[in-house]
Amino acid sequence: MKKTGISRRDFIKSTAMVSIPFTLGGFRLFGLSSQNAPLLTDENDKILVLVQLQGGNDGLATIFHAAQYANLNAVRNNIIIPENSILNFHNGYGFHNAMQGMKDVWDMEALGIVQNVGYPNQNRSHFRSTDIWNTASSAEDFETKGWIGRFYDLDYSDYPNGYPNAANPHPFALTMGKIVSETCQGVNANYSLSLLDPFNPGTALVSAGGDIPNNCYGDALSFVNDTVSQTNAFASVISAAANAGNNLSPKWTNLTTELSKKLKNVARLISGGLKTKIYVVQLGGFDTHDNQTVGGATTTGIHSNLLKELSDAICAFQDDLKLLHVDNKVVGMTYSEFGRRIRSNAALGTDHGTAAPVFLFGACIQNQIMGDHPVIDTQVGIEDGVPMQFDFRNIYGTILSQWLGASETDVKNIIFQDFQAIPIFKQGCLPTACPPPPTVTGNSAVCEDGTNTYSVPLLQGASYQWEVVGGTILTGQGTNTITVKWNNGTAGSVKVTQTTF
Amino acid sequence: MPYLDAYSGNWTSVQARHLLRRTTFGPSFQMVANSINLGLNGTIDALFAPLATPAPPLKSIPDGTGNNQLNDPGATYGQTWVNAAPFPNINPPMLRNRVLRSRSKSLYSWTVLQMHYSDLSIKEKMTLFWHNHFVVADATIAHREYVYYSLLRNLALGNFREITKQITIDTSMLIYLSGGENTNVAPNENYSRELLELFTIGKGPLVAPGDYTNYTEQDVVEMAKVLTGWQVPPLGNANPLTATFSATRHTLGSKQLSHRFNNAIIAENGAQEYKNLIDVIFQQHECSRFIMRKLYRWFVNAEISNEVETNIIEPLALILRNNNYDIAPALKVLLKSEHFFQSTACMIKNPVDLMMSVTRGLGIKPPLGNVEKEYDHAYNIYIMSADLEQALFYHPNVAGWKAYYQEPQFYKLWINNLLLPKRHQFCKLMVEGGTFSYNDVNYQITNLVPVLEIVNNITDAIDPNILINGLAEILFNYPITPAQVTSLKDILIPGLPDFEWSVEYSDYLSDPSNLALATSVKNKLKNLFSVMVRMSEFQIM
Repeated sequence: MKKTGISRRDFIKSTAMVSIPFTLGGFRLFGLSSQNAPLLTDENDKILVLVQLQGGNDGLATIFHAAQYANLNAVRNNIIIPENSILNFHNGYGFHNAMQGMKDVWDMEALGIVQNVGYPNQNRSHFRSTDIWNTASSAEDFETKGWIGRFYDLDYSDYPNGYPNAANPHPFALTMGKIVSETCQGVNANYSLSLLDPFNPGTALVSAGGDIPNNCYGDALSFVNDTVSQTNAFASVISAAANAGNNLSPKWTNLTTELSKKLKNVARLISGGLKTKIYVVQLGGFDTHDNQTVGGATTTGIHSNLLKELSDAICAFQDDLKLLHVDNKVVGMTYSEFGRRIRSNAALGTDHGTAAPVFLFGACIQNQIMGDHPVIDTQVGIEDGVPMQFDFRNIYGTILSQWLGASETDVKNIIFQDFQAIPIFKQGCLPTACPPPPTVTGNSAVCEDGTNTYSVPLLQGASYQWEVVGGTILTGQGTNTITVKWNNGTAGSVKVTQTTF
Repeated sequence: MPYLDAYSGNWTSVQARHLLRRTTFGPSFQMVANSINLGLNGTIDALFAPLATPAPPLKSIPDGTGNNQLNDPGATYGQTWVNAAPFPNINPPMLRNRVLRSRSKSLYSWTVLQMHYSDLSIKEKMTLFWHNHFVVADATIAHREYVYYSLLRNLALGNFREITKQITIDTSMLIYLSGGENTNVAPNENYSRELLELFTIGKGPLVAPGDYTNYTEQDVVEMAKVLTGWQVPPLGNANPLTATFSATRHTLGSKQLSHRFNNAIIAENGAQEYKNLIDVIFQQHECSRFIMRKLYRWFVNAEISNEVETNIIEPLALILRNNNYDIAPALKVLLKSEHFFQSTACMIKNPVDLMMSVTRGLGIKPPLGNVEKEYDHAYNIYIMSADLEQALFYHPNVAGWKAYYQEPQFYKLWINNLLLPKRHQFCKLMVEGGTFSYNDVNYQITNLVPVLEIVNNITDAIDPNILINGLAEILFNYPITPAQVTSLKDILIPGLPDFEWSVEYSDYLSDPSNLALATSVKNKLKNLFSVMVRMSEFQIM
């Protein structure tokens, strides 16, 4: 007799909640291998909003620290805002004067700041560096699929063929704009749809399809045909969610910016029950080589306006999510291809630099500043940017594993490397605030009346509840190893629930 | 594979359309007919023949102070504004802004009109290529935009190195990439970085810190110094459209390039120094490969396999270098090649190509004898293209339209669930007429596809199968299937047998002045055209 039918899906289920121990440096290294965790099922209803700041945000003009102000003033005197205009929020840290909204999010205890985020060998080309952030490749490798796209490729690599379907009726990702984000590019297609008006997503004429030859013409033709059917199929669920959804925050009232409109739509769609997990919104204009500020009135100007647009929109969004009672399932993250030079140029601007802060926002985000504020040397070279302290892929990895429920192995494949989890989430909020599900080791092909051993790696402090169908547990219930005597029959299964506290 | 050998196969409407779709915008019936007569070599000669500089853009809004009227102190209705003061002294400033906007609008419309009027010439397609290569966006002052676009047009079939030199000190470019703010006190690297990465040699893999194979961070810094000192005169100055060089803002001394440029030293040479620099950059063979890849993506295919790199790009790059970076000889070889005609047509039309193919390509001509209507027609095409994410003079960023560089999607980026319904809507409007709105302004489409004229030119269109297959040949790259013909017949004559069309159409042919007959046939054809221009096949060329 052969025992079969043990699929990776029903074999293991990890149901426990646990607080994650962090090592001395504040990071926890994954030590356990695991099976793939279920993605996008009802077990994980978490949503990620990516806010891309296009052009390279000047982090040094975004967050200040009192201890560094004098030195910073020495190297960028023509653009720095006066010290007394800084919005102090925590132990010497302060925001740019235009960022009252971000300060409000901090005061709501829903803001995490990771300082000095970048990657080794920073590339100072907009396009290359944007590709690196969107694909999560290293500076040396070229990758065409986006990091969100690779996440979906784990389980849905046949997309778009046959989608939407009963199991996946909603779009996987939405870019709130006219062009889909490269973060969502998968092996066959981009998982994101574009959306401007959620009430009127638009439909396309269906016409008789012709032959699809097996060449690049067939590829282009089926791409267009697929877009037609996707457009129409997803349009109804989007507009239904828009109609069912709501916006409750009074903070939207005075906001007219594009970013605020986009985030307002995101909040509405989430509250309307759209199960889309990834939203991408973009804000351009951060490439401030000149006239970043107004000469003599440095609290104003292009960069100030952008920071205000960003902060006000995120603040209203966060407030709205809270009033809509969906704030426990949404987190957001800002990113930009690089920060800017430490020294300003003579044109009231800054050139392409290196690392910069990343903002994480959401009710489940730990209210904290991670990392050190950049130390400014008044003799800093003209080419110097802020040194990197955190690799952005560690943030991606943490979000993928702890928020979106990807396994450690999957995350490694998605971001091409080992990663260190960063404690960005509040405890008790996480869907996967537990170790990754363990792998059961043991024969899946067995003989009638045979006795076999099944085990999972021992996790200190965990208890184990085994369930066997088609056989009897001889020894080991409650431990990480059991022996099973199989019955006569054609199929059976072994399942373990690992519980930790 | 014959690759770059001259194409020697049949020369029919199929090949002529392919060549003209790629080298012009929405070729008209007349252009296709001319090309068939001229043959391949004759068509190529015509495409590359020198064209006179087009007459300048005209004031297209009627004079006056009423609705849809405007007084421009520099030009009356129907005259050109390009010789007027770029920044007229008008009060209040809001009124001056209206005048400036009306000039830009005139320029954008006029740019589309040049695409229409240039006939059998590759010049406008190449001008748009350079516009997407040496991107300047958001210039907003019509005179600067006109000078910039004219520079590209004048040199469109000329010398790559020379265009690079001239564009470097174009005032629009100096503004767009901060060159005018680049001084010895604090060099601004914005232009020098893009000069290398996007305009001349391209970026290779990062092989060592700050070393992008073809150039290094040191080169970016040193080249920025070479380019210091250029300034953009304010609009109120006597000659605001020509950059000036300020020796006191220039970083003096020689500039040391990296080993990627053989450690070349750019000696101090004041206002001429940038030319010396560009000459040094162009000594690197990579410049020739870089631009040939970009031209290949513009004219042939987005995918560049190793085979294409070796057998197409490399030999064309050699031709380019042997011709001292004159563009035309290498481009002619490409467009005459077996490879060009044997490659599968799988380019998703960019919005301008799409809108031109559904207008000029289907017999729509700008209304003549009425400057306002002529320009309005072109402006509709401009606005529709902009709404479809190809706004001339307003690129998303300095790298140009993503469809020409963003892997792996390339041309597919023109289409998604939001843009495809819009493309359908605009194509349908050109057949059926109606209104659309963009940025809260309403536009009216009344200049429609002359469906009866087109069908008149299809022999035996009395047979609906022949009619539909004939239209498919005009509209698409490849024949459609019998099942598609059948379903299109159901649009033309829903629920009726074929002979009903034959009867109706021959009645009309025997009495074309009969309004009732003409109208009913025309309505049937409109339905057919309206569906066919929204078929997936029409999105590709």
